[in-house]
Amino acid sequence: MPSITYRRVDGTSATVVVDEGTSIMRAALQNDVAGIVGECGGQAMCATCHVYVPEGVELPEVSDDEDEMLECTTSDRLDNSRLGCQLLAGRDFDELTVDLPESQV
Amino acid sequence: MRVVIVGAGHAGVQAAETLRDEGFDGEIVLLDRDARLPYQRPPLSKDGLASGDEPLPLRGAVFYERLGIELRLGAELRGIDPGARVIELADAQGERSHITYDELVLAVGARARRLRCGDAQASRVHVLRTADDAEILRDRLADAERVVVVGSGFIGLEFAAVAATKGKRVTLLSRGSRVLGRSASATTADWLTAHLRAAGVEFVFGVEALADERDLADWPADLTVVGIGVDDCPVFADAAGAAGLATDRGVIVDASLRTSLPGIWAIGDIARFPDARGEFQRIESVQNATEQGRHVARAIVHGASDYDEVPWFWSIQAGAKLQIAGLADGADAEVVLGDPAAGKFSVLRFAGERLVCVESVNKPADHVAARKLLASAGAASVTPAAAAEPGFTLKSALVPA
Repeated sequence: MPSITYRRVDGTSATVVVDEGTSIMRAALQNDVAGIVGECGGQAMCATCHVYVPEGVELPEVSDDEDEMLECTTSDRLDNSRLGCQLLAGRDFDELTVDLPESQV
Repeated sequence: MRVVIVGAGHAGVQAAETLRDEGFDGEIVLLDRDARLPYQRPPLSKDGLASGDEPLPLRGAVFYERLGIELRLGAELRGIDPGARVIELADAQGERSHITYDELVLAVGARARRLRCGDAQASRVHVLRTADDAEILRDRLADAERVVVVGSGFIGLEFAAVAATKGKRVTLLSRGSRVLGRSASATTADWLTAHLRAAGVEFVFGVEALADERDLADWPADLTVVGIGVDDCPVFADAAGAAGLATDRGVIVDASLRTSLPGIWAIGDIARFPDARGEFQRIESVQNATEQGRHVARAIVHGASDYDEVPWFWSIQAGAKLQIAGLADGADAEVVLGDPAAGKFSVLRFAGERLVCVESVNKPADHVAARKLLASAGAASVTPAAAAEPGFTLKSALVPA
């Protein structure tokens, strides 16, 4: 089963094992990983599931909608910023470590 | 010190979380008459309905334990004694209990309005507001061929879009002459209507006000869904009335979200609050719920201040993304940016010279800029004339921070 590791700003981390097709956002909410809000329910409307993905990992391209909503993040948007609702375990990656931003709202 | 929050929707859960974020170390009791772990509402009428996924929890089950939030599910508010600061609750069996509070936050939401029905037991008309509603509708939709939707607000349109996308024969009945009469410009409404027609939705406009289920006899269907707005829950209205709470189609609050009674606040769908111009309004949206949840928590911890956030909304219909920033009250002029024929455009709406609202269809960047713009002093520079200049963009109007 796929797994996602969330690294917090303070260096601590949490790893969760999830069903295929679960987004990084949904997995965080279901497993009580603090630092992801997901205010809109995963529709790329609110930019409150912002994560930083590791450099050099093959992931699907950022869509136009995601790209535009990433302009709304409260923590700085970096080259490796993604919306957690748009990346699905088992479809886009099997194991992934993401860094959580300073803030989501 | 104990804060009791009645209603564990988007507003109540956010208020509980922000109380802890802001350092509140007293007791927090969060209650809801729904027995489910608090869940996200928006997907219920959109992709959640289409996919059949479990309702997405607002927070995981351990969240409440971790933050020391006492979650009491299946408990309904039955009475408020503002003098003694006590509320009365009833559980599913009707067992009564009491709980005292120092601060009481009413985040009870609203309930879907229904058509009158001679025999409620025999009602064959559905509404869509809760996870239970969505589960029933998902099952019924699977077996239905002919679907009738009453109401052309967001819920009606979203449900019609999902049903049409699933290949059903969908007829949508609208009282007015166009969709989204209260909440969007004719430009946006007409575009959405054409978009949904192309997806297979048949529209009937100018249907005389339907009040009773028997009025639907002319519209036979395997499945009928009404999306005609919300009402205050009568059980809550009785309790509020008996306590002497000022209400008027919702609970009246001041600019800081305080009700007419000491120690009691109201947030989210139930709250009718004054905007910056002193106009009272009630905003039924996720963003309003969460922002007011944060606001009331900060008020309890740090002292009251006025609530003043730019409202924003979104809807997804048959793949089209509608995003609205601001409120169109008093709008009398508009400028369209982009090309409706290409399915990507924004409608800037003005009250006189003042930009009050931006509707964006498949243009998230415009929406993002509009939200920032309406919250900033830069909005004043965007007049109808300025917006009509060639080369004008919302992004360019944003004053660099």
